[in-house]
Amino acid sequence: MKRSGLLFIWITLGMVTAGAIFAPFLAPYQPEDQARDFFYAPPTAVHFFDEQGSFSVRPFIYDYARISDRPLYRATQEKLFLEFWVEGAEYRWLGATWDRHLFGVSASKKPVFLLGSDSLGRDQLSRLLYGMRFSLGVGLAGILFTLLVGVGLGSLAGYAGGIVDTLVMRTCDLFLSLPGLFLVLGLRAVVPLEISTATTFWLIVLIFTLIGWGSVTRVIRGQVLTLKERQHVLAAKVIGASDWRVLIHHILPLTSNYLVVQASVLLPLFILGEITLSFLGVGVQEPGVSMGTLLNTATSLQALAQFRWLTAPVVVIFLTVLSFNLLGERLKALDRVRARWW
Amino acid sequence: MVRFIGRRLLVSLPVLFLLSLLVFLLFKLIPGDYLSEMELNPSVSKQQIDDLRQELGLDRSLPEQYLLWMGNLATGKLGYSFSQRRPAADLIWERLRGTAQLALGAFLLIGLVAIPLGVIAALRVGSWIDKTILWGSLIGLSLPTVLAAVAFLYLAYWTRWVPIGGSDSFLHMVFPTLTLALPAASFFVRTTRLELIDALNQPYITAAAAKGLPQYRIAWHAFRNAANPLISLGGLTVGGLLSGAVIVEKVFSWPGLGSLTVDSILNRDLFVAIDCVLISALMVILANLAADLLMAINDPRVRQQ
Repeated sequence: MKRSGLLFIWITLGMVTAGAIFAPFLAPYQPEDQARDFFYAPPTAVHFFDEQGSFSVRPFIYDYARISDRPLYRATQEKLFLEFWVEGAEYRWLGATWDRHLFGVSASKKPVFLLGSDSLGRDQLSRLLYGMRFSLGVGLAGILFTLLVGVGLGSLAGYAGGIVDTLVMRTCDLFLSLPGLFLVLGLRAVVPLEISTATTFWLIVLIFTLIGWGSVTRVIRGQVLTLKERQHVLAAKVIGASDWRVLIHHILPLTSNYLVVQASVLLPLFILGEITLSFLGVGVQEPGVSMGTLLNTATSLQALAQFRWLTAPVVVIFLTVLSFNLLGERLKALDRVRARWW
Repeated sequence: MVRFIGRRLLVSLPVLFLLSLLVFLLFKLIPGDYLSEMELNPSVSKQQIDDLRQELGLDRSLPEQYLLWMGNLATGKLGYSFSQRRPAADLIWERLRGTAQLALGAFLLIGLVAIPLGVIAALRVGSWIDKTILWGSLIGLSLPTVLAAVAFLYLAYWTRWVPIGGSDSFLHMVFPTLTLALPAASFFVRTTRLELIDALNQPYITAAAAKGLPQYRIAWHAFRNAANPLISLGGLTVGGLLSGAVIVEKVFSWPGLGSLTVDSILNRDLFVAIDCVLISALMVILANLAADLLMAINDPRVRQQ
């Protein structure tokens, strides 16, 4: 792949990751904050030049007001200057409580919606940032647990062999013979319908782990089976290294190539998986926010017919998944030629 | 050959048995049953509920209920649907047809479009055709199924090319099939290309070219060798298609097994849910078996093992 492709990957992924990490700071509002008087407000235009053409270093927006019962808004002549490092809603971040946000308009009660607002007057930019945070978090935690379980059980089965091997691999077959989504639905049926967003987070992580562990376990077992016959492993055993040490120091490091590739392949799948779950009503539910709930709003009739700005999350989701797929392709290609990827 | 198939099917029996037990226990883990919701209705008396519960067999002990289902399985009725009051088998055959149509359509698209595209890309590595195909497949892979489904739905709505909703004619099938096939087909394009490029770089291809074989025969040589990973991928794809079908069926209101599964789980229609999960698992197992057989037919080396 050419340089430009790489640049695209890193820029998108960098922005998405930074957005997810710094979401509470970058978002001017909390995702649940409702400005009831400003429902379906179109994106607020940010200006540097006013109507006379005079330039202002500090960006500003024009004050606006709703002109009827319907979501119709008209801008006035009055300028409202954007403020930076502005005081706003409190949030927890890195174990401390903060109240600063990147930007906002504190002078008036008018909210600033860079990406417009939804039916309840919630800022879409804030929801997008928090949604990204949730979806990426779920994906990464899902990968972490999937790989941990897969490596743990796979190396156990491959290294111990015998009855343990049979037991683990048959369980593996059981899970692999089941279409993933049915597993999800079965699991969802056991859990009460109304659960908090935090509980949903761990539920989805559990679901991803249950779906993903089988294939990872199978591959790791296969790799351990061949790796444990290698010369350097036999040598370590002759010296008197314990099983534990052989496994940790001499076998598992050699599976890291596969693990890195697998992680990059699973992440976009998990992001798409969360969207599917939310679509079927078994994932995050309102007022919680994730890529799935945002996409549900974006594909509604109102969004497509009247309030086009609500479809913005579609672009973000698509670019994110596309970049992760590109990264995965690249890692796969490098793994094929046995090169170092870093 | 027959012994091989027989052994594989025998081995999968305990898996299916465990699976049915698992679903059954999951259902029984949740407090309440199919009738719990009805109990909240003040116009239905306690007597009616008890009668119904007895009629449906929900008043018996857990092992009895499970054996009831097993007995029904043996008679081919597969239990009965609580909500529709008829043998589950009828219901499932009806819906299975819908899903099978979609899945077969998707496989046709994979075989007739995706694989040829992958071959073309591999034969013209680095050209603009290759790049277009690569990017197109990457986009297909990155689109959430929900989004693709809704996009196709609106396309159909605006252009009025095909009717939407239901499954009355062949034309109804077009967009659901396209949506279902999109991610799988995109993946197939990319895998075909990679495997074929690998095969084309082998020494036997150089030898074939040195002998002066025509290009199409060289490509055929390479393709036969690249085909096995594709066949095994095809077997694995069935599970993904069944999962994808749930969404496609919901969006296009297509009567299929996926939506039946979701509904039966959410309605706590016990026997139908177990049957649906089992049938899906059986399809996955059969698909993998078929893939193994096809690989043996294609490759003599596999046959010897």
